[in-house]
Amino acid sequence: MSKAGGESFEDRSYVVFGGAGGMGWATCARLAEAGARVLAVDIDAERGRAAEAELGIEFIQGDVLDLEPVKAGIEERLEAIDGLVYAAGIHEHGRFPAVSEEEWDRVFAVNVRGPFFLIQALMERFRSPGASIVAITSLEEFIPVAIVSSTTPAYAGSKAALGLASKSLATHLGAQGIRINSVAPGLVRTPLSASVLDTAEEWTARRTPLGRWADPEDIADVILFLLSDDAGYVTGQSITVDGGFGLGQIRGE
Amino acid sequence: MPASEGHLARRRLDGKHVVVTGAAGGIGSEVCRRVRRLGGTLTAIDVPDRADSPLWEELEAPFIGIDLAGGLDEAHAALAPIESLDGLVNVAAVGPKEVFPEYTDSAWDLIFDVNLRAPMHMTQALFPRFQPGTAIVNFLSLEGLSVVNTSGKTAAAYAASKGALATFTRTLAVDLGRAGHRVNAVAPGLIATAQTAAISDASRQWVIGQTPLGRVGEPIDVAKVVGFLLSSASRFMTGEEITIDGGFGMWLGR
Repeated sequence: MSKAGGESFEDRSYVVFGGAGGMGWATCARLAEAGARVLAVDIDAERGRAAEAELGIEFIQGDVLDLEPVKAGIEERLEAIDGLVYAAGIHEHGRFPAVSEEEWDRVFAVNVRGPFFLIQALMERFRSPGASIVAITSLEEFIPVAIVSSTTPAYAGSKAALGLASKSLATHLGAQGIRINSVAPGLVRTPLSASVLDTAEEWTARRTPLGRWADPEDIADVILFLLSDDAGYVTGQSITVDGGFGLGQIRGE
Repeated sequence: MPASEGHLARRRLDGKHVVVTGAAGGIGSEVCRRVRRLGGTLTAIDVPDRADSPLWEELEAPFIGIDLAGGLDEAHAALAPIESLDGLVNVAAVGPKEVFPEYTDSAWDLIFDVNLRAPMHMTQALFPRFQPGTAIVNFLSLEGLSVVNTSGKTAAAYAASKGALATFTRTLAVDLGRAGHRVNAVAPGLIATAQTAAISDASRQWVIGQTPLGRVGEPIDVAKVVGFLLSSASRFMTGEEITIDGGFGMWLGR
């Protein structure tokens, strides 16, 4: 088969931070299947090792709040990095007006501060020109969403911050031929969303033009497009992948 | 995992038939080549006097000549030979010529007829022949999403037509999503084509200086993104716009 449209991921190395979670796992799986070398980093060692065994990828345990060992672990394994996917993310559990300062800070630390300093730490290793970075944000990069409970201001604020920080970074990275974009998923079936899915799948699917929730692979395929040279003139963009859910207040039948 | 389900296979267009308007133009012809390279087949559409172009033989594509400024009935009649389709790419557009305060009704109407009404004609006329999961890609412009003034004058009519097409794209995505079809758009920045060759060197250099990736775009940069939006790799995207401008439009530089 011709490689066109597949591009080739062979001889390329990718870091997927948060690679043991739902979308991170799917991204690792897709990249590995397409022939790439994949290094997953995750705080969850058990699932990380499962990914390593099941997908034939490499794994190191790491916490984005403690970047020194993460940087060392990545640099030890990869001379040059063709792409980074930041798939880690958390939301607050407390609901307004009961969100603690610690929780707010932790959400911003994992969702915004972490990826920024991770990118800064890996600058020497990104292939220049040619590397591509994808930050997974959320529909909440643009619009507050409440599914089973009230909205989550810390999460929404952090995702908007990550999206705009990525655009700002694009101006710095562009000079070195490095691209950065965000992917903003809507409702995705992941271990994290399982409880929401149980209670709200029906009405949310009705309000989604494509009529269903995303599987993590639906998001991973868009991430791989942005990592590939097919997106070679695309940088500083936020790409929504939500089946149309975020287009507006869409009434289900 | 079977090869047919992998990411690389999902990026291809094998077995899909794609209808492209503005197929003779700089970007349109590159979109056509991309569709063919990805394994798809084509029907090429452009104004009738492009019927003799050697492109159609190169692309192994039947050509249909339509005046896209014409009416819905004409579109229905001209599109009759297309039996079925999996993709529709509305590239054809009328570029900015007049500027404020020199707009005439006829110039304004031509821009809106070709840039906004023709994509509606194409979509509506071909809708009964959409195969399951048909993907539509409309062509916006950076000017449909933000204000661009590279040469000292804005192109208000052109920009308004593209802005309206952006809204048309998003709203149609809701209607067509229920039937399992997708509607997305691309918004190219400055792309090197015969149409943009007239831009002054000073303007071009200014754009390059404001572009994080440090170059103007090539038609293939746009065609590759269109190929992705036609493919099943983008199966959960609808009502979305992808800007292809090297980052030019997303910041305010010096």
